Amino acid sequence: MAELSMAQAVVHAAKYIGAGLAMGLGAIGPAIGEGHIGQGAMESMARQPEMVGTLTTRMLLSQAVAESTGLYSLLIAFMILLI
Amino acid sequence: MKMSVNFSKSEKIFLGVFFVAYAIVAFWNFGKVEFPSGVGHIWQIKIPLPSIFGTLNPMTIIMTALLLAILIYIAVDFKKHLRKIPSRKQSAIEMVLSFMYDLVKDVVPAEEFVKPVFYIATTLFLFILFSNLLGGIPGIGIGVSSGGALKLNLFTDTWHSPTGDLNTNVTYAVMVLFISHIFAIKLKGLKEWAKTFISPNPIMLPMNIIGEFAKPISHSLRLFGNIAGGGIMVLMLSYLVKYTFVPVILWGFFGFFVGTIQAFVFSMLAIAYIGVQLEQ
Amino acid sequence: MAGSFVNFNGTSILQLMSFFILMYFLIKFLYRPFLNIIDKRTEEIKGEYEKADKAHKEAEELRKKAKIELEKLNERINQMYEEAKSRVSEYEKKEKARVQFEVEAIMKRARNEIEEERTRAEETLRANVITLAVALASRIIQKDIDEKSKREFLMDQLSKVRDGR
Repeated sequence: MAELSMAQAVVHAAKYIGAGLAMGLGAIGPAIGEGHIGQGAMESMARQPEMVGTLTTRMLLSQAVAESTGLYSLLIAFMILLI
Repeated sequence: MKMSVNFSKSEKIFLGVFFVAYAIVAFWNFGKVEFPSGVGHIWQIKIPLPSIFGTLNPMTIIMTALLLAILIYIAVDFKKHLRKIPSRKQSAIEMVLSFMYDLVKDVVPAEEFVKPVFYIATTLFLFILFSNLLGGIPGIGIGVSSGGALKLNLFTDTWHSPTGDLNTNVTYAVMVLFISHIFAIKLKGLKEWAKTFISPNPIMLPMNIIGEFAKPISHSLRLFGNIAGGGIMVLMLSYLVKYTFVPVILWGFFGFFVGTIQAFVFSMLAIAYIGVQLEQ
Repeated sequence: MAGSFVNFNGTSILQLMSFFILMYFLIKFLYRPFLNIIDKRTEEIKGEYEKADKAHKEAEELRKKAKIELEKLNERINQMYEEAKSRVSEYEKKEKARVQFEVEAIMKRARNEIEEERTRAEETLRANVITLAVALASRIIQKDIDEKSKREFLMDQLSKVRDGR
C-alpha cells in the first residue's frame, strides 16, 4: 500500500468506523422488527395450528419487508467502504 | 409438504460435468484473487449520448438478453405443448400463474384492470425471479480490478444478476408508479384522480406527493439492497474460504431463498400499489 | 471503464424496453393461452356438470316411470294370480265333486253287484241245502246204519255243508 498523507489516513479510518457504525446501528431496527413479526407469527401458529402454512408465508413476506431497512444500511456501509 | 426432485439422465450428466468443472476451476482459483480488488465496481462503457444516458452496463444488458431468451423459450415451449390435461411441467407453470392471478384478483377491485395488472405483475415476478435465481448460481462474468482493467471472473462470482443493478430496479419501480397513476386516471378520470392528492384536506398535499415519491425509492432499493448486498456478502465470504466449495451453499441461500422471496415481494408490492390507486 | 455498483444511466432505458418486449412475448405465448385454457376448462367442466345433471334428471324420470309401470304390472300379476287361484279352486271343487260322484257310483255298483252276488249265492245255497237235505234224508232213509255212524255221518255232512257254503 502506498504511503498515505495524514488527511487520507483520517479519511480511511473514518470510512471504516462509519461503515461499521452504519451496519451495526442499522441492524438493530430490523432485528427488533423481525423479532416482533416472528413472535406474532409463533403466537398465532400456536393458537391456530391449522393455519401454519399461510402464516409461514406471510411471516417470511413481512420479514423480507422489515429487513429492507437493514439492507439499506448494508448498502450504505458498502458504499462508504468500497467507493 | 414433501418435495422430491427428479433429474433425467442428461440433466444428471450436465450437473456432474458442471460440478466437476466448478471443482477444477475452484482449485485453480484457490487463493488467486485479492479481496478488495474490484469489489463494488462494475464494467461500464461509454456511448455518444448526452449526460447520464451516455454510459451503459454491458453485463446487465447481456444477462437481460439471456434471461429474455430463456423466458421466451419457456413461454413458447409452454404454448407448444399446451394440453387440456396438463403435463407436469405445464401444471407447474399453471400453478404459478393461477396463484398470481388469484392474488391480483383479490387485491385489484376494478374488474377490467385485473388482466393488465396480472400481465405486469407476473412479468415482473418471472423476470426478477429468474434474474435472482441466476444470481444464485456460480458462473462466468466480466468484472474490473481495482486498477480499472477488465478481468474474467471464472466461477469466482455468481452470474451477474440484472436485478443487482440499480437501473433495472429503479426503472421497474418508477414504471409501476406511472402505471398505477395511469390506470387511476383511466378509471376515475383526471379530476377525481387529482382529488386524491388533496384528500382528506389540502394541507396533506405535500405529504401525499412525498408518499408517492417514497414508494418507488423503497420499492427499488429493497430489491437492489438484497441482491447487490447479498452478492457482495457472498463474494467476501467466498474470498475467506478461497473460492472452494462452501460458497455454493451461501450462493444458494442468497440466490434462491432470498431471491424468491424478494421477487415475490416486489411483484406483490407492485400489485398493492396499483390496487391502492384503483380503489374508488 | 469501471464504475460504482450504485449507478443510474442509459441502461435503464434498455431495461424498460426489454420489459415491454418480454411482456409482449409472454402475453402472446404464456398468459393468453393460459387464461384461454383455464376458461375452456371451466366451461367444459360446467358443461359436463350440466350434462350430468340433465342425465341424472332423466334417469330419475325414467326410474319413476319404470316404478309406475312396475306397480301396474304387479297389480296385474296379482289380479291374474287371484283369478287363476279362484279358477283353480273352482275347478278343483268341480273335479272333486265329479270324482266323488264317480267313486260313489262305482261303489254303488260294486255294492249292488255284491248284493246281487250274495242273493244269488244265498239262493243257490238254499237250493243246494234243499237238495242236500232231500238227498240226506233219502240217504238216511236208504242206508241202514247204527246210531253212532248215523250221527257221525250227519256231522260229516253238516261240516261239508258248512264248508261248501
